[in-house]
Amino acid sequence: MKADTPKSNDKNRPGPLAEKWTLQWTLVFLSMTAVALGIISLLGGIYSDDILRSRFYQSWWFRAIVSGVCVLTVYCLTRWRRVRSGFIPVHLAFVLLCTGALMASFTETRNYMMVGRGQVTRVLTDGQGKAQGELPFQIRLNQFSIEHYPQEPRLLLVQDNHILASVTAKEGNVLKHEGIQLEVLGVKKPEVKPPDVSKPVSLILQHPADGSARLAVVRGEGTEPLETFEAKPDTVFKVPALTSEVKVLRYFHDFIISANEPTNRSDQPNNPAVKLLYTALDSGETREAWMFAKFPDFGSGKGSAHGAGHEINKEPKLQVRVLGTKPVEVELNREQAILLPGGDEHAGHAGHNHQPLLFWDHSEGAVKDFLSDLSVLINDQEVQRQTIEVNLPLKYQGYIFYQMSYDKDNLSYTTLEVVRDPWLPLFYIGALLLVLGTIRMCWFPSRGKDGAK
Amino acid sequence: MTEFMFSRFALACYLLTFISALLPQRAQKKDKTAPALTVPVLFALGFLGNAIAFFVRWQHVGYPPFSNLHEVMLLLTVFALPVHLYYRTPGDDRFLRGCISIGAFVYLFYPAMISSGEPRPLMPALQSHWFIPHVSSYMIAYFMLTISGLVALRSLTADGASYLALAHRITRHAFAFLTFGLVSGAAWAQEAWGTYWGWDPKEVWSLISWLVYLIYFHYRLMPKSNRKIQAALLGLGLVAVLICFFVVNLSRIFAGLHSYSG
Repeated sequence: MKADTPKSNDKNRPGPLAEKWTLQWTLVFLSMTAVALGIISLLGGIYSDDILRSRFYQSWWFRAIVSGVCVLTVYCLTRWRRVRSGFIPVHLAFVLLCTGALMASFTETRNYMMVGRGQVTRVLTDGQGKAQGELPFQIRLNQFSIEHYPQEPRLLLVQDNHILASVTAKEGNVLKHEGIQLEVLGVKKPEVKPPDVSKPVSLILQHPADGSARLAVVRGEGTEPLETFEAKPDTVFKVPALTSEVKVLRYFHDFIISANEPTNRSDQPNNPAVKLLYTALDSGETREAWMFAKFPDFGSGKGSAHGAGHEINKEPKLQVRVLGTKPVEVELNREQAILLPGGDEHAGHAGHNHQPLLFWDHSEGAVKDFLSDLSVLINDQEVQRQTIEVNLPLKYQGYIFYQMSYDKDNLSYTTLEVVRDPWLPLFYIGALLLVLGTIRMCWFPSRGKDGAK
Repeated sequence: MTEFMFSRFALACYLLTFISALLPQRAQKKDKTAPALTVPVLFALGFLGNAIAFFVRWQHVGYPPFSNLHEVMLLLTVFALPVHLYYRTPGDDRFLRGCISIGAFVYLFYPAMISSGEPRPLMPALQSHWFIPHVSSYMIAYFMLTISGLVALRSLTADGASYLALAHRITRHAFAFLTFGLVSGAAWAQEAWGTYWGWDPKEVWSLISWLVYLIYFHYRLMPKSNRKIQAALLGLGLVAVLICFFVVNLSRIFAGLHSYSG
């Protein structure tokens, strides 16, 4: 690819001095760019990303270096007439990309929106939640959902809240970690007894000493629950033994009637009560009923049906053998940590004193996807609706809404990133030209007019 | 049979192929320039084992296995035989075969012998139509640039002009893949995160390695450009690629959005 010496009487060819001059300065500026990038990236160990961006990448001197390359590129485009194929698109692409990036740094807007389910908003905020402006239309979150990968239960070896090792809790699997070896023997299934059909089951409201409230299915006059459910409004659960679906409509921790309306008398759980909606599973008939923790006979919580299901006397347990000179077998309950045999049980609260723990984990699998069903509203009329996810944003009137994050503590909220960059088309055009031009120059190089390849 | 059995078999084949490249070529009874049949067969078996390991992995994880270092190194070495077949010259191709087989051996060592290969679910950001083209174009480029860097080293000897020409040819083709990888990564970032350039360490070092090769191509246009400097630039490009591929993923200095790819 060496350049031949051009003929002095060829009007279309640049002079050799000009050619050498542009090449030399291009090499200088490209090298400066590469060196500057390398040094700045190494500073990532000292400075945060925001400081790197504001103090270095967006600094005047770095922009001057990149601008130097850009100016030389424009010069080459205007100066060189008889060039090899691919030269013009590649260099034009570079100019477009740099121009688009430079203009975007001045005109691009980037904001956020945190929207609750059913909420309609047009307010844009910054990263700290401070209002920054408004959209010319409204956004409504219709639904937010998360999909998880299926995950089999796992045996975890944990220390100081860090998972040291894990293995699927299947018979025969062995967990190894620094001399510790644990063999999964299998799951000990719970004992199942046939139901005592002489005693009917009933649903009662229980009020444990910790101040919580729960709905419990009990047999006869017993208080040991067969099943329990959270006494929280909008909770829905099925009780096959009562052939009913039950929905919690309202909950009061200290029930009293005031001005003909139920309300709470105080902040203390003195008189827990729930209002339930029963729906018969066979006929679909519904009825409402109140239930009181301190008055289990009051209300319609008792079912007349005899238990149709089975009783569970024990929870399943995971059996694990700790291998070593003296193998030991242990049993784990679901989601309950135990000290690894051999640890110091008298050393205070295990885990916080660096003791390894065993844990039979039934947590959900990793997040597979999180989606937001959004509507664009103008004058309360829906003009566009789309379910967005990562890699699939919503575009409307130059605004692009990206699925950024969500509130792990409140899954009815979604966090969106809202970007507006009127110079974005320059990026796509420049990118396409760069790829096509590079393929042309690199894979199908034509000989230049000077005979070089 | 598991992925590891196939990848270790491939590793052994690549190593034997490399050793054979170091040995003097045996003369055949009738044609003294024909290479021994066993060596190409070994190389082909290595490729076969490598490819089967890659597809076994794909079937095991249920998605294109491009999401971590274990998987991309398994992918990268699959290109060993195709690269060799495309760039080999008739006659004695021991040197090129040696470069390719040792490159494949070094890269394949990690997924075959070191990594446990524990599969992880594919995170939402990686579920994109850019996933396959972006990663595969980079892996092709990285492997080809590794070979061109090794060939360029050989060109530093007295009779190295032809080796430099070969290195240039490989680099020219690899640069197109490198460019596509860079651009597709930017397009993907725009779709996923709303910005086509976020100054992430991986992005920065991808750009640095691209710039080094750009400098190399421009330097070649200079009148009387020095052959040794050209070779040195190709070596420097390989260093930048290795930093981008390994150091950025594994070093604590470079924490960024691409940290999951380690």
